[in-house]
Amino acid sequence: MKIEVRHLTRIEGHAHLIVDLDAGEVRDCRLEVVESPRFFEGMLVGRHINDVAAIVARICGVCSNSHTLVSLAASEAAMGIEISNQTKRLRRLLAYGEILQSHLLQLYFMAIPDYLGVNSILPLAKTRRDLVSRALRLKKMANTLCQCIGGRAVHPVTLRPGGFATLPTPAALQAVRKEMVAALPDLEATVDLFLSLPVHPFERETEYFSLAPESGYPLFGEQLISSDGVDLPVQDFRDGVKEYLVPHSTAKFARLTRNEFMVGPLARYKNGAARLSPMAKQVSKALGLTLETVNPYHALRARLVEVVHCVEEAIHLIDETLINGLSDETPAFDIKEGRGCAAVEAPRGTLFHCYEYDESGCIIKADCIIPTGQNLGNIEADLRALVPQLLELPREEMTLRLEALVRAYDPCISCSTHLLKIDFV
Amino acid sequence: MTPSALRIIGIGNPLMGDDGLGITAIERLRAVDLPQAVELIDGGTGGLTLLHLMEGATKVIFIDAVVMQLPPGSIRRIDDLLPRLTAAPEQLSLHETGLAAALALGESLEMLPPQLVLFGVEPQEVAPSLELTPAVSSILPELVEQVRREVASCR
Repeated sequence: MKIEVRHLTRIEGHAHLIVDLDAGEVRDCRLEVVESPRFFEGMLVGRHINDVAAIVARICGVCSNSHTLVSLAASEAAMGIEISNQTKRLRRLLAYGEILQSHLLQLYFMAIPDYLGVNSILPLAKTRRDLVSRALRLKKMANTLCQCIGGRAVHPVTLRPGGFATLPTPAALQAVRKEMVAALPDLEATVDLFLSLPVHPFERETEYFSLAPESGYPLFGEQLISSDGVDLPVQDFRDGVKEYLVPHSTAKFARLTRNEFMVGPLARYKNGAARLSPMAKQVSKALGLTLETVNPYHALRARLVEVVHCVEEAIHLIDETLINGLSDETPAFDIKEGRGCAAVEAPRGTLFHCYEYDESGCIIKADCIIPTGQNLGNIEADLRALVPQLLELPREEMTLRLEALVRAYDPCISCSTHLLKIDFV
Repeated sequence: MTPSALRIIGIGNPLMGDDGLGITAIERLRAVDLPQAVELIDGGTGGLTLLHLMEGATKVIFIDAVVMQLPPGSIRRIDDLLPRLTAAPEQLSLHETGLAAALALGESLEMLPPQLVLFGVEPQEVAPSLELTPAVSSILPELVEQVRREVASCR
């Protein structure tokens, strides 16, 4: 029996899911990735430090803020630029906004159809209008936060190396805060919704990798950790994360201590649950997540816990920002040659950018590792372990379970284009 | 019309060659003296964010690269957009849902502006590049003029 899902839906980009079974034996099991975002690195070569962030902000429509934030941090590391506490607070707010945008999109628009027996969110617009309206309200709240800090809902324009070109106004921050507080009942309803959805049974322990929770739940930082004992400075991440090629994928796979590892919400949860906000801790308890959780389908619930965490933390951080007041700071720095790496916890996991600059402040070499590339090996290992457990299921149900597993990782295969096709006669 | 009632939204990725034409068109339009107040929006590849960008508008004019099987650089004004979007449900499965998916969902939820017009331009090459191809960049003045006339006709 061969299960072949060409262009797996409700993920970003193009990938095929192939499972080949012979008399109950798994002969082949792979996620074929037929495109890769790595060509963006070539575009960065020769670019001046002041122009880099605007280019990386266009790599992806879902994680444009993460690419911008990590890019600025890598440039700042390369040139030895210190950023102020005000800048740190605002960047953190933007990172929360993006995790909210992306997680809410994945949970409501990508994942839920799997559990409500529909192919996409579209039929639910008629049958479960409350649910779809709530999803859009929540997404709008996340957009408002990103717009307030980054100047736009996607592809931010206010950030510069060393700080911000434009600051949010106190009034705009207060308006976002109000919208976030008003969203709390919607979050509660979302938790109830996910409590009502089944979590497919499956367990496979793996290596869980993220930034260390040194200054809070993993988001920014200088140190990387894994559940297998990796403890590595971000500047040396290449000593730990080894990329490799497989014949069926144009995206590189990666290994750490083992042949595969996991990044993203569940990995962050396992490494940093103790640093979650009080409300997020309660929600995680209600959702049945524990440090022992090794079921990758639980990534959905971990994602929801992070949504609650980001909302609660963002509200506090807005208060802190307003109390401290916002002051214009002109980012000033000396251009010099250097190399810098940075990592940020993007919605899907740890995102690395590493740049080498020449003495005129232009990039000689750029290196980016995206979370999905790091997860691909783990997704395949999960599939290989899961398939033999599903042989009793009807083929359709089995396919659905496998698709839902891939989607639980929220893979972002490429961040490129979205061409509209119309037959024009 | 009040400024927010009429909006022009350019869509696309400027890192992907001709896919970015909608963004370049918005930049060009910013330099043009338009006959009435219009909000010019760089929509990027924001997908469903488009729904929020359209909210409250009376009329939205989109500018996007559209594969229409026409010679590269061809411009088409499409005002019967919704019936043409047959591919929408499938496209909605992508993260970076494009215009089709956003419109399909918006229609289901009855939250679309009453008037929608798309200026579609046939791309020559959608591949990593920060430049438009000559076939597309050469029609930008004509595209801007057509959009300007569209704005002038809005009451």
